[in-house]
Amino acid sequence: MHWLNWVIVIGWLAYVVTHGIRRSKGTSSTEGYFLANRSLPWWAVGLSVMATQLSAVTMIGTTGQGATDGMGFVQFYFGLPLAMVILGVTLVPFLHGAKVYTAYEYLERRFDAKTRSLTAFLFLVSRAMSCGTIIAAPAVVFSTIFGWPVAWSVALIGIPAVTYTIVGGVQAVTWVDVKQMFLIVGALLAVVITLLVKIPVSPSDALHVAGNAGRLRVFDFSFSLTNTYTFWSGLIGGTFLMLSYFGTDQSQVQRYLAAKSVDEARSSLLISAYWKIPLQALVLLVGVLVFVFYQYHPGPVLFNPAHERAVQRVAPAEYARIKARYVSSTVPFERAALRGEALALAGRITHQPTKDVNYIIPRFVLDNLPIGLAGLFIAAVIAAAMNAISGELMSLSTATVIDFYKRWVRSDAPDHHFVIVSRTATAFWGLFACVVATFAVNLGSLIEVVNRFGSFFYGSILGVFLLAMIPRARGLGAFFGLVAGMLTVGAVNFGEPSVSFLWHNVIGAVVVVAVGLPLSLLRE
Amino acid sequence: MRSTFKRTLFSVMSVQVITLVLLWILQHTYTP
Repeated sequence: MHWLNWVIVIGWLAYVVTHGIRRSKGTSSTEGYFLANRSLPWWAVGLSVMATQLSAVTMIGTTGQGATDGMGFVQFYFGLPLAMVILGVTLVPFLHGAKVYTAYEYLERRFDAKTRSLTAFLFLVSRAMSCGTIIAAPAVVFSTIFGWPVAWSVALIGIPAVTYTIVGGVQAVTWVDVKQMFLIVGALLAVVITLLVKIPVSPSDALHVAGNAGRLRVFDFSFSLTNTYTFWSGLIGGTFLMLSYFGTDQSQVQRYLAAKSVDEARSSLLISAYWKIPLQALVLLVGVLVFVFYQYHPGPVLFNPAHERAVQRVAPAEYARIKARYVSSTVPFERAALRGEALALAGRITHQPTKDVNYIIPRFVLDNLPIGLAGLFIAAVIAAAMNAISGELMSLSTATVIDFYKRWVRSDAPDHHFVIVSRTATAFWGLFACVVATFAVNLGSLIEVVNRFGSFFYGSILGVFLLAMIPRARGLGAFFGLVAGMLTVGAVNFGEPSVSFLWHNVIGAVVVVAVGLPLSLLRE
Repeated sequence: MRSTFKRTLFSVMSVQVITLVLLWILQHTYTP
């Protein structure tokens, strides 16, 4: 990459760390560190919530998915607006009004300590696993493209994010998220404009090319439990997933707990309700336009440079034959078939999943964007990773200190003791995430892995919060309902036929309520 | 509370319906 691009990347990192540290005023109490003294305006909280979700996986994996599969993934978010409205009148007033630090703390007030501890523990396990993946996704791609050890890329992303999170707490995380959100959206728009300029046909003709290759097929109305992204799984399964994610996941709940009032917390979620689907459509459109671009400019057959080198070394003649036919072909379906052939060849030679989809956009950016813009996009990918990881670290640290350390180990220490423990916990989880990321090279499809870890527990935890809003539900019912929900999701996940993960949330939540409520009534 | 919910629900779902219709038009205009 050109040195000017590196200046932009390093300059941005220096800016966000400085900005985050400057925003650390008032974080010398636990309420200041974890909840910014409940003082944040709705628009900052709302942008921060969106920024936490928009990880580097979105910038690299989802855009790549747009290029290979088209716009269908946007269906995943169809349930989000409805979920935001439901949360605005249910869990948000409950949690904000209860003046709690974590969503799980509320469960002890409503049920008992064991339900709180189990849900907090499940959160820690699932998030600890996924926070490594969040850094690993871009780190592996950067390492392959720039030829670095993975640890360097992990350090490039992890050190700045962990630094401003330790020092400034939720306040720094939120304000850095706001700045980085503008960078990310700006970089995506700049790439779209560049693509429209570089594609040698009109935008309408470009969309016809994409449409002819099936890349603009958004809706799949088939009612299938095994297809991952359909209209119905997005609308029904997606609503449950988003209810669980925004209503019970500490990384999201913590943001709106930091809002000035219940109304501001509610308004912050509506930003996602209005803008999430258009933003995801923009992300996928970047991938679709990159696909069109490569119909007019011969691109690499294999985008993963490490695999391309391996194939050229082991089977040079076969790869040269595929490449020659690929470059001379003008028919999208034929090119797709040739790419499939090359991917299969790479898989046979490297004995690894090719994960080529994650390299399409980075390769396009570095090979085709003008100097400066490429640096801006790489900075935006790092920014997206930092947004996601800083939110996760903050929530892991809060659950560790509030739900375990303060609840079970030391409840009577002075406040400044908990601030020190909180900063130490943030540093520990930051180090943990970086170590996991360094060794998480082969974790399967990046998008699916992150979502799968979450959905395994999400639905069941949502079920417990649904029970909490039913007056006659009791602690014992909630606890055993939660266990039954998780066992059922486990059975569905590992059984046959394999049910798409978006349905796990529906199944988990329904089982928890179906088991927990009768048990509660029996105990009365 | 109930009227706020209804107003918000109407406004959010209206925007979603418009977005989905635009996506549907995009699909049907360009996909053969």
